[in-house]
Amino acid sequence: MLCLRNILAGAMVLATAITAGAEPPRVRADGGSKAPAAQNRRSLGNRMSATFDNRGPKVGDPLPDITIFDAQGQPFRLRSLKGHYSVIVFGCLT
Amino acid sequence: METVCHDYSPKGVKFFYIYKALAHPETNGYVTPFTLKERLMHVKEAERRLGSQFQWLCDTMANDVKHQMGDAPNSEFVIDPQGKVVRRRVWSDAEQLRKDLAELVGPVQPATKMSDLHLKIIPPPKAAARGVVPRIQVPGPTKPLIIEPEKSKTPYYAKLRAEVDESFLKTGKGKLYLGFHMDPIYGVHWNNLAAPVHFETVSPSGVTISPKSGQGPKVKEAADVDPREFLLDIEGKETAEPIELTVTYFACNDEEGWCRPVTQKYSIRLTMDSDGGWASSRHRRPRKDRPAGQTARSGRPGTPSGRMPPRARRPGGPRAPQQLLERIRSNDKNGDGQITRKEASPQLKRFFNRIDTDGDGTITQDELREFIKRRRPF
Repeated sequence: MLCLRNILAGAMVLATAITAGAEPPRVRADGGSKAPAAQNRRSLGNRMSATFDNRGPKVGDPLPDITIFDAQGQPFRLRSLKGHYSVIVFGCLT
Repeated sequence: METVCHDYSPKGVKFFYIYKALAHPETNGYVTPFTLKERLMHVKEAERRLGSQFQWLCDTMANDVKHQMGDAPNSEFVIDPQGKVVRRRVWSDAEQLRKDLAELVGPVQPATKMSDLHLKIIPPPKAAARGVVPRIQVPGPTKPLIIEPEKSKTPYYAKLRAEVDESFLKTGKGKLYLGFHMDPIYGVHWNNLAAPVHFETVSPSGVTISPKSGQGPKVKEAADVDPREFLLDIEGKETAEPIELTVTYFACNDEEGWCRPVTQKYSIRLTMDSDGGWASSRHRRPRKDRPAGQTARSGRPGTPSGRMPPRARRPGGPRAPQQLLERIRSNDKNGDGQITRKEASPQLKRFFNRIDTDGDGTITQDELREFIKRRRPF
């Protein structure tokens, strides 16, 4: 499902164009707006990106010092991820 | 992501999924777990269904990692051997990740394709019939409330979800949604041969709920797993005192061979649950040109609920990306990772043949990926 989600994330861009027909996108990538009605609207995606930029770790930051759990419920310290490259992706069943 | 994992694991890169709060509770029937034990059961279910080669980790019940790492539902990070973040993006992107790892670790040629892995996504469990009891369509956006289940030796087979509409948040008068959802991880179903689900509420001072109690419908089918939903009137101000709710129902587990009456209690706080997610399967965004009170389905003969008629354009421009994503994801109704023509929405059907390049009547992940590549790189 996570794989499908990633694929569909791309499809979403396509679907935006589909939904809008032949019209050009109304909201520019820089956050500006061509349509007055959309001027005060910030999409969910924009809000999510802003939160991510404000709260998430920046490049060069260490991971937060939090102990979570492995799939068996045993403690797992995030900062133990050292000595190799690691990829972390957030996900869930929905 | 699986192909990237397949190609870069031999180069020493470790891949982790972190399981956090549900982004879209109710999708495929999954509901928010109440305990760490239940969240770990979700992790097992994710392992079972997805067959991923990633190692699963589980966030705390307070979602500490999610909060401290940007609060996005599907974000992605690359960590270097010193434990520092070297790549970050708000939304996971397999192709970009592959490029990142090519820079950091070295390229892998040829890259594994999804079809090489023969991955099969297992459908979600189904303990009994679905689609027996009509769903409630909530007219307008709602916010999930914090609920506190009372400690119980008996698992919460049916789990409460409580939401209030924006009218209540703005004016103090609006609607309270209560939904009791059978949790698929327990393999249980409603016993419709027994008394229907029944609940009673006790409101704090200054808050009025009407009606105060309710009973689920009598259902002809002996068993089903549809949620029992109620839309109540609520009036009052936010208060620190919770609404107390008691629910009684009859649950059965055919595999384990038991049926039992259950009574459980909740405290519902009139405070938004920021980790409550968005039940996209239930909501239809109100249209500005639709009269107040008119539902998505009513007044639009010949079109499925909430969907635009062919060639129509949305007032106000295209949908927000997240809504579009959910709209497309919702096509995969059985969760097997493929979309059949029967599952496809009217909008998707218009483009179905262009995506289904082998013409077998099913859109696979590869076909969707190829179609997207043809249209726009991402």
